[in-house]
Amino acid sequence: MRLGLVIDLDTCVGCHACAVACKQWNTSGTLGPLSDYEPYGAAPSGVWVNRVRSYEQGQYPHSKTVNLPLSCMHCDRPPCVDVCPTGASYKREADGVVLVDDAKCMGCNYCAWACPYGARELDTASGTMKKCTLCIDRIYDTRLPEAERQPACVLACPANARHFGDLDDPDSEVSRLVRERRGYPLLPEMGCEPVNHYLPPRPAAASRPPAAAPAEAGGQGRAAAVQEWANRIVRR
Amino acid sequence: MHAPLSVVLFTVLSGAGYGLTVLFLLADRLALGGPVGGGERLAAGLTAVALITVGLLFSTGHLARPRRAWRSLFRVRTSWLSREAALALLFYPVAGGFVAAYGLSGWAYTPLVTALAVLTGLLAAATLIATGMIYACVQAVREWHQGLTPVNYLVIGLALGAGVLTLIRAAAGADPAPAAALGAGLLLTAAVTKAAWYAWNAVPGGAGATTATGLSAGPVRLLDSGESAASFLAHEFLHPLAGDRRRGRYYRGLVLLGGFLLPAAGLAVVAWSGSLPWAAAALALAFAGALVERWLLFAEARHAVRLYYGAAERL
Ligand code: SF4
Ligand code: SF4
Repeated sequence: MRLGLVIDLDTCVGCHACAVACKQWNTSGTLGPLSDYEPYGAAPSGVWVNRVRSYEQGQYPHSKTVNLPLSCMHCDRPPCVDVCPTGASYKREADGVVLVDDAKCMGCNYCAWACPYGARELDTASGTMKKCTLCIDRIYDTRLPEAERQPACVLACPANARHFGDLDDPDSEVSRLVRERRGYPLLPEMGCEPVNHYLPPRPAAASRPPAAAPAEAGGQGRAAAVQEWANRIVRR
Repeated sequence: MHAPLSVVLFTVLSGAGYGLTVLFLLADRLALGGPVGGGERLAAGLTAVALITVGLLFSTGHLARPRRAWRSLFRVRTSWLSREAALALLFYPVAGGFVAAYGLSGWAYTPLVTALAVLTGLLAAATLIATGMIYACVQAVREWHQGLTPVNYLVIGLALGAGVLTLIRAAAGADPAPAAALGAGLLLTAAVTKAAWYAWNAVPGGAGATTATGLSAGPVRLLDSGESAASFLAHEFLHPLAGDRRRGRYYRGLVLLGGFLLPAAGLAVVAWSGSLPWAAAALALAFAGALVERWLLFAEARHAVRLYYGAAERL
């Protein structure tokens, strides 16, 4: 089993709901506090193990905004685990989830250097490394209804852009999505073999509604009048 | 990348200590520049142990939970940091065994003493190489991920050690010429291997923003990092010098010229004249150069995370 996420860059609206849900769940979960520094100060900062960044692709007017959520990829060949001198970082045999044992980590930062994705952050309050756990304390919790045994970020996403499942199983929803939408891993040249995959944005033309036929004067009666009236109001 | 002072001081000081160990053993065994006296032996031994130990203490300054450092001794199968820690620890009993056997044999090289000396020297060199490998095995940092990285750590450590040995020999009134000549040669070697290291880093290539995001339909530009203030990642991986190749060139020149070539010339003068002040000046310059070199190794390093912050189109 290789559990992981498949993230749809076509539908992600960049609302940061996944990041907030992640922070909320994990700061009170087994991962322990995700500390904040100066939360009410002039420069609030803190540990987040899922971050969303927004990019513009192409040149205006042929450009597109793409929001890229990024958390641990639960790599098949995780350099972070190899370099860890204490054995605090490990990859689970059974489901491939990469975790940090908070009781063993000595906060040397080496794994954060080794991860090309910036998926690990040192919590200077606890002195230990924090990273995505794939909500290990949710996904196996049989007290939760089955539909909720998913990472908090997946449940929170209002655009349904995040999918969780077993990427080893060719019949799983996530594998099917990767196959049909040509999902890809980030930075494949680093050789980490990430489990998480991203679904590319569809071409700009495909995600726009078909251009409306020019409306004839008074053509569609009341509906057209309302539409034209609305257009006039929202004109920039 | 952010340059942690503790790591900079650790690698320079301990590196010099391990280098001194190797070169002192060589000088002692082969009586380079005349037989080594008892006072000199004591001075060299204490200096080496002091440099190594102070450096190692500095290294724990980089740990957020230093009291868990003992755990780092057991992952030698996969982690170079663990290997370095284990080698550094193993060095003490072996070096102690060598000193004890050496003393008990009346300061003569019996086969046992020679064997222990070789083992001590090998451990010192292996620790230097392990330190270099800590960086060389990180693929996410293009600068570090090359075969010359551990070579530089080894050569610079040995060169600093030769400089210290020159000073000790000159101060004791022995002939410092062989040690000085060795030091000059090692510093010149360091200048060559480090220049090659810099040259390789200037070659364009490496990962780019296109593969980092997978967005291949056009140039990719960061609109919003989503951070209200600099995060751990920004602090750790976005050193301004990493993107500024021109300002970097100034420091690279400083390292090669002021840190390696000038002290090499100084040691050449010592080899020729045996002058103690020149030896001290050359050593001070070499240490300063090594500190800048180590700082630059971090400051200039272009970590792949930079791609996600729009700091670069290409690494
Ligand atoms: S994304 Fe980074 S932290 Fe996660 S497994 Fe891969 S290398 Fe390790
Ligand atoms: S910071 Fe912790 S988890 Fe990361 S390499 Fe060091 S000991 Fe291992």
